[in-house]
Amino acid sequence: MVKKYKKINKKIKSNLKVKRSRLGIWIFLEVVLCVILFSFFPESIFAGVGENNVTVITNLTVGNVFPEFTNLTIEDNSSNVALIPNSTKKIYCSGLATDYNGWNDISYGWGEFFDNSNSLYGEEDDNNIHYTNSSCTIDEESMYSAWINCSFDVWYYANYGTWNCTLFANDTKGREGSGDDTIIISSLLALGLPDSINYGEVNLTEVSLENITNVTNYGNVKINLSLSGYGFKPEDGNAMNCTLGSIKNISIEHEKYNLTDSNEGILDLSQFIANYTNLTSFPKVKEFNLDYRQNDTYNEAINSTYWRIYIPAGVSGECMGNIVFGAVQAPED
Amino acid sequence: MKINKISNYKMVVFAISFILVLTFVSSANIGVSPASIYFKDVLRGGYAEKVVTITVDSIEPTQVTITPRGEILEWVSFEETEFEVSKDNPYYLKIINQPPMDIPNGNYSGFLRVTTSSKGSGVEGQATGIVNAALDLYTEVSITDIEYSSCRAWNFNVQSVEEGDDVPFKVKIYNEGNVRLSPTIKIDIWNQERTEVVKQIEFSEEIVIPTTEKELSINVDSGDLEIGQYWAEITSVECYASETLTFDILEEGALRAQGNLLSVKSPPWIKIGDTTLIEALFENVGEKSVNARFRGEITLGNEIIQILESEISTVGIGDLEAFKFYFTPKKEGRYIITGIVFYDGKRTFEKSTVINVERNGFGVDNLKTIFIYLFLIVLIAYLAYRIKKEQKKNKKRRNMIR
Repeated sequence: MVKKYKKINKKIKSNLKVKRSRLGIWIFLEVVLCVILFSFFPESIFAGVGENNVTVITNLTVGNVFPEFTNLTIEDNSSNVALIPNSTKKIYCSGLATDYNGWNDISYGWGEFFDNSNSLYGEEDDNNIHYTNSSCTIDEESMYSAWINCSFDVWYYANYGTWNCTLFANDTKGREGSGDDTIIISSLLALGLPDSINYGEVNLTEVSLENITNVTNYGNVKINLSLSGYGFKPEDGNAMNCTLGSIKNISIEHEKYNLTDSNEGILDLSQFIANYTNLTSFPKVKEFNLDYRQNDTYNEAINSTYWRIYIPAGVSGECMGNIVFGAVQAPED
Repeated sequence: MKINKISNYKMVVFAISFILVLTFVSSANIGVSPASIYFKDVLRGGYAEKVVTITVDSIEPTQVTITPRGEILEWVSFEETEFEVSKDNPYYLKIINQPPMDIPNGNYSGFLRVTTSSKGSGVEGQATGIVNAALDLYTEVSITDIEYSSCRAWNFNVQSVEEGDDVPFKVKIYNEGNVRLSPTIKIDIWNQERTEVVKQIEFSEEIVIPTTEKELSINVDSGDLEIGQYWAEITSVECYASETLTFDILEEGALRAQGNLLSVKSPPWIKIGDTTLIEALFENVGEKSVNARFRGEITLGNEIIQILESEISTVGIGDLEAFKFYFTPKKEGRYIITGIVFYDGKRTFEKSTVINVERNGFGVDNLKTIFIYLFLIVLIAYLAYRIKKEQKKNKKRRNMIR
């Protein structure tokens, strides 16, 4: 009986040994699995028993950044720009866009050029105050930077003064950056006139029919006129020289103008004197106040001037003289 | 007969139209820009110049005359007072102001009359007034006795030369001040590797007068420079401007090898695991074909991720060569690709680009990771349960033995 008990006890003990070794394996496996599991986490926390300070490493990766502008210049850093009469002037505006996601992240560039006092970016285009270029070029400069180059065809009647060029750049994620610079558009004094004033055939001691001569403002300032005339050379006191006749000269005061009103039909000498102003040999500035063009579809900056000449006795044949139309900037209102 | 009547009618209409066109066609649309000019802070006895643009809206040349009037009459001058202008050839009139030494400080004004000749002509038996257009340009000069200095430098330039010839450097200077300027130009010449300055030159012999622009030419003796490529850093000291350029000292009669690495291109954004193309574009702008090789690297932070080295390619004169590489990032981050093209014993400027690598969205990889985590956690929990159970059993057995 005792022998049998001892045998059972021995068996239980050996079984217990096996179980213990299996338990050891499981504990080992548990430890290994825990190590594997926690090895996926970063070792970002440092702390020691009894230490007051715990260091935590923080990580942050900045994802997308928007383009930033520097070195924005208009017309190669000129302080001002001159327009061209009756035409357009190409004005160049460029800026260095920097995108720390790489220059090639900049996908689209556009620009607006506008009168700093009378317009804002985002407003509609108007040749006097606002221009838009929606497809500017993007040229690589360095790893993070590209030049955004825009040009604008600016008309002669664009307002003079300080203009702003604002450039925009979009990256491939749709983020937008912008920058701006200013330049002064110079005032432009310009005049458009016909080649001649033809009075036609006029009888002696009669006043010619009215000739209407249009004056066009091809600049961007309001103009007055300074008028003078001569026959053969400046300040000779004549309006015209004729090929035939006993005198051959028409005196300067016989040629007259009216800058505001038309007087149609045939006039006698007294009516002529009453309604028209004498042309002079020396320039005389006359108020004309011809404003510059405002309408983009048609040119309204045109005013008429009205001319007649009296043909005195003693001249004949072909008569020819000179009229000088001088443009002077009119004072600001 | 009817046909004749119609053709006569047409002739009359044509003649009237022609006369009308002649009457209204303007061929003397003259302009001056700006409409007024202001010479600011000109020194007594000093010098200042400005340029105004004179344009005429006429294809045929128009005679223009300049006549000054007013207080400035005595000290204003021009390179030319009579010249021709046409639509395609505007005239840039240089207006020179040289006020006398004894003039008091203050503002002085006058006009410059710009007059055109007319294309009009008389008509036989009629009275005709030829129209001459003129513009009165308002001019104001402020005289001061306070000196100031300021300048601008740009257009730095150097040319490759044959052995023994001087190396010509050029730079443009604009004097924005009101006193004469002797701009100092410093040139540091570096070896090909840019590790050592092999020559230094300082030049300040030319004088640039106020409000004028001048191109300075500096010829550097190349007798002590061996054949090869050099880098030059040109600095305009007073104008706070500098630029780095490269040039070659060539064998006598040698053809010039010159190439540019135009760009290193890649898509700006990709995902982890995506394979992307990196393209380096090289242009042969020299006078002979060259054997070119691209060498570069991809870095992430301070770590070099991949070396980029191409095979040697022969690039013909004026040809473009695209060196292509493929890259598959394994981690997210901002990768920088930089490289140089080596050709004919020379190297180009370094170019670089950026690839931003993003994490993938919630895809199969994420599911795999989550599954592994879950599996590990379940396994650990199961093992813990079994360990605890086994420990209990063992305790019972031990008690039984006792």
